[in-house]
Amino acid sequence: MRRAWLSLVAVLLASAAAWASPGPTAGPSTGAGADDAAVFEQGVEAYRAGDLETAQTHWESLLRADAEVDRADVLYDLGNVAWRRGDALQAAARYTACIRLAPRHRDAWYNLEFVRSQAGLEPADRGDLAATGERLLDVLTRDEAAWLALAGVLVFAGSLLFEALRGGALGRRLALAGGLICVVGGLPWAHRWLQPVEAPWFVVQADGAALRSEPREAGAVVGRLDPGTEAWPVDSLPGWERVRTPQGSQGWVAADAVLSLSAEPPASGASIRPAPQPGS
Amino acid sequence: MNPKTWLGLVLAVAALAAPGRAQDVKVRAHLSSGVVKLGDQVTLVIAVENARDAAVTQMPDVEGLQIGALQGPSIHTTESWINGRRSRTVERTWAAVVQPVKAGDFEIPPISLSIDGRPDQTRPMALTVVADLRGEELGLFEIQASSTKLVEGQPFSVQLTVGWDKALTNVNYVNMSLPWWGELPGLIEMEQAPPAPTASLIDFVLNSNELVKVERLGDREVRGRTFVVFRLVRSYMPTRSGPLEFPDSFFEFGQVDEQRGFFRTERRKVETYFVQAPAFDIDVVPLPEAGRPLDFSGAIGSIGAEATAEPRDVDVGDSIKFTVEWSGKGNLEFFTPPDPGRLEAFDGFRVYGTTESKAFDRRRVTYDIAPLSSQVHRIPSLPLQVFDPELGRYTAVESNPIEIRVRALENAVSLAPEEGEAQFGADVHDIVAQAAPAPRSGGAGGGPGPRTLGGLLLAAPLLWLGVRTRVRRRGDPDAPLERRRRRARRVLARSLASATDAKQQLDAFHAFLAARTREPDQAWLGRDVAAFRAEHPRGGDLTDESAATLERLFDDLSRAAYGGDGRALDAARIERAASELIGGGL
Repeated sequence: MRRAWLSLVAVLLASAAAWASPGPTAGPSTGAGADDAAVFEQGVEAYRAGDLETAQTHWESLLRADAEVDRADVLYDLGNVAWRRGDALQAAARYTACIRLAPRHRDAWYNLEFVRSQAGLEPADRGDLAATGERLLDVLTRDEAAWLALAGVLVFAGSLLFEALRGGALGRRLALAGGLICVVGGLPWAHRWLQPVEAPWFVVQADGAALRSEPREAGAVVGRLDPGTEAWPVDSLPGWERVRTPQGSQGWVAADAVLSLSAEPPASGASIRPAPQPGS
Repeated sequence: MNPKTWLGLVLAVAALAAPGRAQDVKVRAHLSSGVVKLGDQVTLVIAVENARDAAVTQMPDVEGLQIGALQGPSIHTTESWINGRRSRTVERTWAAVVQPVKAGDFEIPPISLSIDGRPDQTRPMALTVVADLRGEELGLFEIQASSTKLVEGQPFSVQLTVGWDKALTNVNYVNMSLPWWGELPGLIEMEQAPPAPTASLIDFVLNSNELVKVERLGDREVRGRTFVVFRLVRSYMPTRSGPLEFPDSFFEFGQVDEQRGFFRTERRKVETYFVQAPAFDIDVVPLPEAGRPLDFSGAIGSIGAEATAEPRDVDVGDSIKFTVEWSGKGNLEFFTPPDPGRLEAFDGFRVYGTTESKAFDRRRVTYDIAPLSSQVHRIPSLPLQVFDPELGRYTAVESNPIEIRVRALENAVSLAPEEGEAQFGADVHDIVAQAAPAPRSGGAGGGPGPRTLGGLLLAAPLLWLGVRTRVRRRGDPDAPLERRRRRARRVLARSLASATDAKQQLDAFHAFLAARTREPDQAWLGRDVAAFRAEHPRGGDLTDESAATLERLFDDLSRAAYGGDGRALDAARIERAASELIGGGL
């Protein structure tokens, strides 16, 4: 009988290990693809030479889904390009997109807060209790949060197994502690899971974006999105994006007034607009 | 009372209640005087009788006459009995003051009225205005503006000089008629300088309805006469460009007779004279855009600055009251004082705040500043950007620099970077220059999905429930005998480690067996293994090999304990046997 229980636990642990182990198709690469790495390097060289447009072109080409470079780093570098070209809002959008992929990217956090202050926006981390809690919940990527949740569930299962086999006060306490660990470990995953999968749009136009009732210039203006506002995508037409504002209202905004925070290439209409170089 | 008497009374009441006969509508208009001195006033009266409704629709404009606002109507009703008939008259009356501004013969054209819905008009009226030559000779009235051309925001003053021949000893009435007083648009009256303590101030009537204090000056010789002279000064600031038109003004002086009644005092002019001050214009132009400094303060005028500081011998970080006083002719009340915190020259200071006070001829601002370093040796001059109308250009009025001594604090760190110390700017962090491999993304094969997590979360309690039910069938796993059984191996190892002879080893082994079989410690004393296997179903789980091992060990331990020298056996052998027994089902 004892052997049977031990076998059961071993099977559970083996299953968990099998989940955690990299699959043959989804495992981490041993290094960036040679071609992608070369394109990245070309972007770096262009940036160092002051050719920001070429650097931007190279790096944006790496934002395709199958590029074998870290897209968080690419977005971060694109944020620096936007900043050097004087567009603090677009830089803030790039850094925000980078942080969505790599929440613990320290340089991206620093640069984001810096360019937001230069653009006159409130800090991304307001520093109050709610903002700190949200940042704690977002400190892991979606995958990391899922693995943490799985670990919590396994700890919970192990504690329950101990309680079933041994019983007693210790077993009950361990089961309770395992439940708490499961809940706490699952919070980041639950937080991520409750958020929309689609990335929001970020208003990058310096004077904000007009929210229109219809996707045409003559459409009635039903609201206005301040610079730096994040609005969630609802629909899309050439040159226009339909968004849902944080207040819940919906409307159409010109595509060149917003930039997606996803890791995909920028919308067709989005372009880097020259802006005065902030005096830093 | 007979019926005839009743009839008479009814007729009388009816006669009283009946309305009077309709009267003809009459329109009249007249002036209180057909001849008037220049500077004096006449009253224009319009009266309409017996109209149910009447209104003046338009007042005429006559060059040379200022016709004031129409007052009224006042309604007066009279009723009278004439030859037994009741007559009722309703008269509506309007009045307006007419002020001549030049001599000559004038005709006031017909005034349009609307009477009972029909248009009507008055008859024309004639007015002769004669210059008061006597008044011009005996009186003095001059109005002088400090400048006839100003820029917007530039203060100016208007000085009125009035007087009369000193030989007129019976003058007891004066009235200055200044139609522009308080009426010119785009003009702000500024604070006036207080009169000298020794000045003699007298109340003059102004525009017949208010009193104003004028200053008595010394006598003055004018046109061969000696005049008693008074002065009134006011300062203004134009707030918009364009002409400022000051119309004709008059000064009336003379003698009035006062009749003091029980309720009020009646005044009757005995003889008064008029003297005129001609109309004049002031041209106000906008501030020039050319050369306007970015930090133009809005100050306009001829302004000087003087600075003081207290204390001047301080430690680093100590507060210094740095006071700058601007004075002169200008809009001292209205400009924005400079902010030293925005000036490079004051980089060596921290500015904590300002307090200020204003007076008619000066503006004083006190800055609370603190030197940041002992290298600061003086408070620099504070510039104020001013437009000087006399120069016709913008200029900087600078206060005088003030030498100070700043002592360094011992064991203190300077609030400002020392000379030569590097100062750093802020910028974004540099790009990532090394391509990193793409981490595993959150697609298929990323982290476990919600179904996996949910399934595991559901399976864990089910597993627990199943295992718990199965385990509890054998009893409580936390019961003392079960806990003793689980600890038996460890207890045996400890006992063997401390045993010094075979007897102690045998007792420890008996205790181990009793714990494993959930029996008392003495249960295995002298027990036959074969009999145990036959009697106890659980003991029957022992394999033959385990049973043989157990029997051999019992024999060896018994011989050593009771038949030999009592020396302890090899503890490892006993432990191996115990492990073998546990593995064999004990």
